[in-house]
Amino acid sequence: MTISHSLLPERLSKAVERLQALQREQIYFAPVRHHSPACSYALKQLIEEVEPTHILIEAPSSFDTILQQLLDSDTKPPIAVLCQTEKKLTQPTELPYTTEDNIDNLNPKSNIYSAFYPFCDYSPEWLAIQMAKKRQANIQFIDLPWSLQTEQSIESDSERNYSLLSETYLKHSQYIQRLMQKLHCRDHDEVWEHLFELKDYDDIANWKTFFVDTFIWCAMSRLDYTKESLIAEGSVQREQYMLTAIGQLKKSKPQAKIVVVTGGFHTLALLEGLWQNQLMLPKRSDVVQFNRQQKNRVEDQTWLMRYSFDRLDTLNGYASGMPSPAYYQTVWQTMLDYDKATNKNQSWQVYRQWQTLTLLWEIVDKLRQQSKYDNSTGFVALKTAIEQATLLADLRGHIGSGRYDLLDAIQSCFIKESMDTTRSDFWILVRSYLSGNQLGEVPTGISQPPLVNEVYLTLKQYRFKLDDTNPKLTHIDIYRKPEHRQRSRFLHLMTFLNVGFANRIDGPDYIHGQRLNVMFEDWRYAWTPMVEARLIELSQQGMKLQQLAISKLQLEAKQFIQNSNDSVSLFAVEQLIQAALMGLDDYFNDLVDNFANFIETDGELDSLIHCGHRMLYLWQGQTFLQLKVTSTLHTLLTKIIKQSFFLLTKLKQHENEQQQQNLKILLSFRDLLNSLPDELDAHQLKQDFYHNLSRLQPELTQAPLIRGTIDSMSYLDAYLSQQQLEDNIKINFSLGTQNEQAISYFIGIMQCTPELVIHSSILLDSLDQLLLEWSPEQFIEILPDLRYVFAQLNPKQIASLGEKIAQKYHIVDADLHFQQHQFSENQLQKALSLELLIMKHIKQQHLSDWFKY
Amino acid sequence: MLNQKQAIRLTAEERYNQELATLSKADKDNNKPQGWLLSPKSVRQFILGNESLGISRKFFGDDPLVDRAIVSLLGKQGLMLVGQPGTAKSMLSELLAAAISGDSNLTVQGTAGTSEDHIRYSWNYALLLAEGPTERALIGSPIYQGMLQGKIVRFEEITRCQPEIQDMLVSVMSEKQMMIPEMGPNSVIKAKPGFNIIGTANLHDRGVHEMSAALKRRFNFETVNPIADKNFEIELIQRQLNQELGELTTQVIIPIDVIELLVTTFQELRQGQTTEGAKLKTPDAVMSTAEAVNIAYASALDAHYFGDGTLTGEQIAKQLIGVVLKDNADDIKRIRFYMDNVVRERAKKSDIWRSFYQESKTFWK
Repeated sequence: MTISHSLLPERLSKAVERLQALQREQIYFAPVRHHSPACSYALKQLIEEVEPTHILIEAPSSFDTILQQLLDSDTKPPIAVLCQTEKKLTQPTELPYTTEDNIDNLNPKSNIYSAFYPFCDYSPEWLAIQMAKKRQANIQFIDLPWSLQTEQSIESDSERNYSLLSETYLKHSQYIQRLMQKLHCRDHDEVWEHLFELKDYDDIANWKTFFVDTFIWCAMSRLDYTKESLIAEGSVQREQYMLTAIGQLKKSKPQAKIVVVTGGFHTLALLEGLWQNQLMLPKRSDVVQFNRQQKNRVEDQTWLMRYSFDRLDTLNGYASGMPSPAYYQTVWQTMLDYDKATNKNQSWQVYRQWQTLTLLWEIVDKLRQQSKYDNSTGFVALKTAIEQATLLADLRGHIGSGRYDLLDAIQSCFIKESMDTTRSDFWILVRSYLSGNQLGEVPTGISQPPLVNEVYLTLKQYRFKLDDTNPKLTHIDIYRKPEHRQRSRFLHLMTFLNVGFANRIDGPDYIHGQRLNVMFEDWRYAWTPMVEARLIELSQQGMKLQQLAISKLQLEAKQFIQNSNDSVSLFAVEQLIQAALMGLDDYFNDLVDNFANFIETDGELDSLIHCGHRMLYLWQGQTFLQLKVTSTLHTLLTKIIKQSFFLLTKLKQHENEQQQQNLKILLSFRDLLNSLPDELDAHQLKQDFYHNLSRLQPELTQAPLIRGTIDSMSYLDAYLSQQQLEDNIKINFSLGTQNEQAISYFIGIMQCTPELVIHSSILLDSLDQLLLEWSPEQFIEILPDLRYVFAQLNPKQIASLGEKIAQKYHIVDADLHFQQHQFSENQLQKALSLELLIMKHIKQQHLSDWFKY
Repeated sequence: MLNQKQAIRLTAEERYNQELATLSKADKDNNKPQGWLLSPKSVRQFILGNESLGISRKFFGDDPLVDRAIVSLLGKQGLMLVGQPGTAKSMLSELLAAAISGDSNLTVQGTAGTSEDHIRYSWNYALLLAEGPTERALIGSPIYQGMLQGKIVRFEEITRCQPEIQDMLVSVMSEKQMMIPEMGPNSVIKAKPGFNIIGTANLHDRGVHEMSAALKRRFNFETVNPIADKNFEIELIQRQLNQELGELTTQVIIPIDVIELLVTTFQELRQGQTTEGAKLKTPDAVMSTAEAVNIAYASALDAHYFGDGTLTGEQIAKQLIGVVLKDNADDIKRIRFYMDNVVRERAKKSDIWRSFYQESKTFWK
C-alpha cells in the first residue's frame, strides 16, 4: 500500500532527495495531516529516535504566550486555542451631509476576526508539544501571526467559525480524485485511511518511509495550484515566514536537531526554500521582514479554552482534519496500548480486531437502548456485523477494519430496508457515537477572560449542569421560587446577548403579550465551547454581563433615536420589558423616570396605543418581574391615554387605506380602555374618550368608515341611544349622500359590531333603500366590500338575516329552503309527461324552428 | 436443458467468458472461499473492472456497495438488493452469480403465482406413480439445485410472491438444508459450501407484498440508488446506447447535447429540483437510467428510419411520453408544469431545448 515512487514528477522526486539531504543536516520534516493518529504515531517514533533539541510547529507565533498553559498537566484535550485579532475597518467614503459623530455611532470601527486551533490527544501537534516537554526540547511556533494571516486570506466574514487547520486542498486535488477512482473509495478521507491509517503498526512506526509517503500525497495535491492562487490565499507569505524561522534557528544554533511539524501542504515549499544543493540560510532582507512581522504578535489575543469532540467534528466538516474524533481517539488509544505492551507476542492485528469488536459492541449497545432498533440489533446481527467488517477489511486489503469498513458493516447488517426509508436518526445515532462528545479540561485559574469565569460560576451557583455539551432541559418555577426567578433573569440576560447558552421553549411572553397565564418557563441549555468562545469575545467589551446588556440597550436606543423619531414610545416600552426580564433594575428605573418624555414626544397614535397595551402586560407581570413601580405605571398609563386623546385628530385622514388603518387603531384603543386596571379611573377615561370623539365628529365628514365605527362603538358602550344611532344611520344613508360614503359608513359599523345589522331594522332598511338606487355597474363595484363585511357574520346570524329579508319581501318561509314540498311526485311526473307530449306535437307539426333562439 | 441456437440476450457468464477466464488464470494462487470459482478480490475486479487485466467495468456509481455485497455472500446471510426499478439490481445479481459460481441460471423468477414447488421441489408424477418417491422422480427447484451444487441462486422480485411463499426461505436460509419427507424420515439434502441466495426486491412498487421480519433477518440489505452524477450518467447512456445500436452506431449521429438534455430532464424530474434549484413536482413514473437508455435507443431508431439520421430533441420528446404516462394521471400535470416552467425558459436560449419544447407542445397541451 505504499505509494509508488517510480512515476513521480521530477519536481517531487527532487524534493524527496531534499527531504533526505536536510535530514543529514539535522532538520527533520514531519508532513502531517491534522488530527491523524497514524501521523502522530510516526511522529512519536521520529522524536524518540532523533531526540531533537528543537521542535517547530506550524501555529501562529503568538501562541508563545500560552505555551505554559498548553504544557500544564491539568490541560486535557480536546482543547482549542481561540485566536482573535481586531482589524480597523477602512472607513467608507463620507457622505457630504453626515457629520463625523454620526458615522462613529452607526458603523463599528473595527472587526474582530476569530479562529480556532483545536488539539486532541492524537493531534500530531499536541503530541509534539507533550514530547518536547518530556524531553526538554525547545518549542517554537513558526507560523505568521494571526493578525497578518487575516490580511491575506479572509474576507470580511467574521461570523464563520474559521479553523487554523484548513485542509480544503485535499478535497479539490485531481490526484486524489484519480486515486479515489482507482482504489474504489468514496471520498478523500477514505483514500487517506486506506493508504495511511490502516497500515500495520510497524510500517507506520517506520517514520522515514511513512513521512515520505505523506509528503508525496500532500505535494501531489499541491501541484494543482498555481503560484498566483497560492499568493492570493496567503500560503506563500506564511511559508516565507516559516522558512526564515527555521533558517534563523539553524544559523544561530548550527548543532540544533530540529523537527518541523507542519501540514503536508506546506512541506514542498519549505523543502525547496531550504535546500538548493546546499542549506539555504535566510537573507538579510528576509530576516528584517521576519522581525517586523513577528512584532505583530502583540496584535493577537490568544485564549486557551475547553473544546469538545462534537464541535471538532463540525469544524472538520470544513475540511480541516479527520472526521469522527471519538473513533480516532479509540484508534489512538489502541496504538498506544500496543506501543506500551512490553512483550509483543500478541500481534497488533489482535489489537485492531479487539478495537473493532469493542466499537461495534458499543454502537449496538447504544442502538439497543432505543426500543425501535431492538429487532435488528440482536446477537446474530452483531456477530454478522463483526464478521462483515473483518471480511470487508480483508477484501479491501486493509489490515484490520477501518472506519469505513465499520460503517459499511453497520449498514449491511443492521438496516433491513431500503436506505431512503431508513430512519434518519439511525445514522445520527451512529455518527454521534463515532464523533463523541468528550469535553476537554483547562487548568483552573488560567487567564480566562474574567467574564467567562464569572458566568461559569454564576451558572454553577444556579445549579445548571455544565459537565458535558449535551443539551438539557430546565423547568423554572418563576412565580413561587425567588431563586428560580433569578435563574430566569440570568437566562434572559444571556439570550439577549446572544451567548447561545440557552433558548426558551415555553413560558409567558411579556414582549408580545402571549401566554401570560403560564406559570413556568422551560429552557433548553448546553454549555458548549461556543458559549465560552462567545463569552471570550464579549469580554473585550466589558467585564459584567449586566453592564454589557445595558450598553447594548443604550446603543440600540441611540441608533433608534438617530434613525427616526417615530414610534419612540413603543421602542421604549420594549426596552423596558427587556430590562425588566433581565432584572436590570437601574436601567429600568432610569427608563421609567424618563418615560414621560417618550410619551410626550411620540406623535404616532398607533405606537402609543401599542405602547399602552404593552405597558399593561408589564403591569400584569409585576409580581413576576418584581416591579415596585405600580403607581408610576398607573401614571404612565393615564398619560399614554391622555396623549392619545390629543392625537385622535389623526382620524380625520380620508384616504381609504389610512381609514382602514385608523379603524384598527381605534378598535385597539377601545380594547385598551376596556382592559385598564381598576385602580385607574377607567370610567372617567372612557367618558373622555367618547367626548373627544364626539368633538371630532364635524371633522370626520370625509372619513365615513371612522364615523361608522365611532357610532357603533358609542352605541355599544351606551354613549349613544338606540334612537340617536338610528338617526345617525338615517342621515348617513339619506338621499343626497354619495353612495360610496354610505357604504363606507356601513362597513365601519359592521367592522365593529356585525350583529347590529340583525338587531336594528333601520340599518337593513337603509341599506336596502340604497341598493335599489344603484345601477348594476355600481353594485358590482361595491360587491367585494359588501361580501367581506357580511362574511363576518356566523351562519346562525346569516340565517336570521335571511329570514328578516324574506319577511320584508313577503317571501314564504318555505321558499328559503332547498327542499320544496308543495308539489307531489305525481304532479311532477304529470308535468314532465305533459312537456314531452307538447314537444312531440311541436315536432310533428314541424314547428321546432319556431322555438329556437 | 433446452437447446437454443440464437438468443436475444446471452447470460453474463457467456457474454464475459473471456474475462472470467482471464481472471481465473490470474487468480490461480489466491485463496478462494469454499465453493467459489474466484477469490472475492477477483469477483470485485470482474464487476468494477481492472484496466491492466483488460476487465471492463460493469457496475457504476457505488463501489462500496459491491464490496459489501460480495462480503455479505461470503457469510451465512443472504444478500437482498433493493431499490427503485431500473437501477441495475438484477444485472448486479447476475454478475455476482456468474463470477462466484460461473452460473447465473439458477433463478427463481418471483411472481404472485410462485408456489412452494418453485422454491422446494415437485414431482414428475408419471415416474412418481411408477417408481414411488425416488430421486429420479423428483424435480428440484433452482434453490434445490443450488444447494446440491453449491452455487449462488438468484431470487428475482421476491416481494411479488405471497408472504407465506417468501417465508419458505426462512428455514432454508437458517438451516441450509431441505427435508424431503416423501423419501423417508431421514431424507434431507444439505447445502454444499458456495450456496447462497441473492434476492432482488422492490419495496415500494404497486402490487408488492411486505417481507416478514424473520426473512429480513436472514438477509443483508443493500440499496441500489439511481446514478446522481450527471456527467457520469451521460457517459453511461452513450456507452449503452452504442452497445444497443450495434452496427447502426456509425449511421446515426448522436449529439452529446441531446443526451445531456435527456439526462438533465431525467435527473431533474427524479430529484424534484432543477439544476438552478427551483422545486419541481416529481412524477410517480420510474425515471431510471435504463428508461433513459430505452428512450435514447428508440429515438435513435426514429432518427435513423424516419428522420435524417441525426438525433434531436424532437425525437426525445416523442418518446418521453411513453415513459412518463404509465399509470398515474397526475403525472401529466407534473410534466406539463415542468414543460411550462423549465423547458420553455431553456428553449429561449438553446436550439436543442427549443426543438424538444416545440415537439412536446403537441403532446403536453
